[in-house]
Amino acid sequence: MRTFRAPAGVFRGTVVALVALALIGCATGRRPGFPRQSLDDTAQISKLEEKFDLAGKLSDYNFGSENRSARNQIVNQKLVLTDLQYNRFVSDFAFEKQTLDTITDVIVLGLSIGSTAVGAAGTKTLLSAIASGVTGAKLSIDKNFYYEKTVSVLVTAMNAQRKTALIPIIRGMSQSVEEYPLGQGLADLDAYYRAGTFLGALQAIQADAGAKESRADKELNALRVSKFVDDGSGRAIQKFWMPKWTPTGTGDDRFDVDQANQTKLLDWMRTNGLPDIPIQQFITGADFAERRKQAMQDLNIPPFQ
Amino acid sequence: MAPTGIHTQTDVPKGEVPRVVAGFKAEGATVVTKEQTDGLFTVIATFPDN
Repeated sequence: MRTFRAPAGVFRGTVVALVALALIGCATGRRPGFPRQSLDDTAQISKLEEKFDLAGKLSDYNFGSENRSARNQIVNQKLVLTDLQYNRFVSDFAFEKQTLDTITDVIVLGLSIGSTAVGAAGTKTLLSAIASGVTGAKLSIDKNFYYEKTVSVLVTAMNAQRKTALIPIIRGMSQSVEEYPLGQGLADLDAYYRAGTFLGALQAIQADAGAKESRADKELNALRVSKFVDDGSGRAIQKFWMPKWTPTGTGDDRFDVDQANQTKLLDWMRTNGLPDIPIQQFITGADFAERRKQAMQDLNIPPFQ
Repeated sequence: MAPTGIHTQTDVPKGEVPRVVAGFKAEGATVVTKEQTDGLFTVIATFPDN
């Protein structure tokens, strides 16, 4: 019976990969990019959950005759646990992503070294193919599960949303139980929790984009409606655009356009942030008085006589 | 880039209406004029979407 013997290059490549993986294991005893916590957060959460016994406290809570101190205790304790879980969620996510990157990089490195070291062309091809496969798999995971480079954006959005959601809780805890009953506190805590999820972050980003779009629409609409004004700069530009135009003229040809000057005007308006404004709106719109003076200067338009 | 959508100029004196209308039309707009309650005019220009 013939026994398969791995080429020495494969062995060396595998050893490099395994040693590197072992080193990563040692190095990642704590999460990369996160300082070591003095307490094990998993144990901390577990002990606090047991100690707080929120389920018991809630079932014992007298909703008919609420007590401010008992309410604040429940809200505070739930807040602490939500914060601890959130911190863990954020650091775990970053940890998983960085670990995936490092491990696949090391495997690819090991396989590449192996494929360089082996002599047989078939083995070389096989190892290179595996290395490509690992790289491809990592890319796929990156794209599908980690939204490529959006993680930091999501975390930033979650942090911002959580701060906003914390405000009514902090404010409510200083109020009486009549003003801020526990039911409201629990609802606010739920909103606080949801603010720390990817879904919450995406919704916040979407809402923010919607608000910005709405503001932009309002500004755009304001530009689209302008009061008529007849001033010197407007007359000068009108003449530049329609050379036969005079304020008291009557013939239809007074509105004939000078195409070369029109091109100059449109170029100026485009480069000066007015690409969607009609020339006539620019000439007789009250909102553009200062811009008209600038255009006259930039385009060397003579004053209207 | 040609203007698109609806652009409106309000408070146009009667004597200036032809000027404003011709200016909007020169850039391809369809123009409607409405008299305001104060005797001035509103000129509404609709530009085709690109």
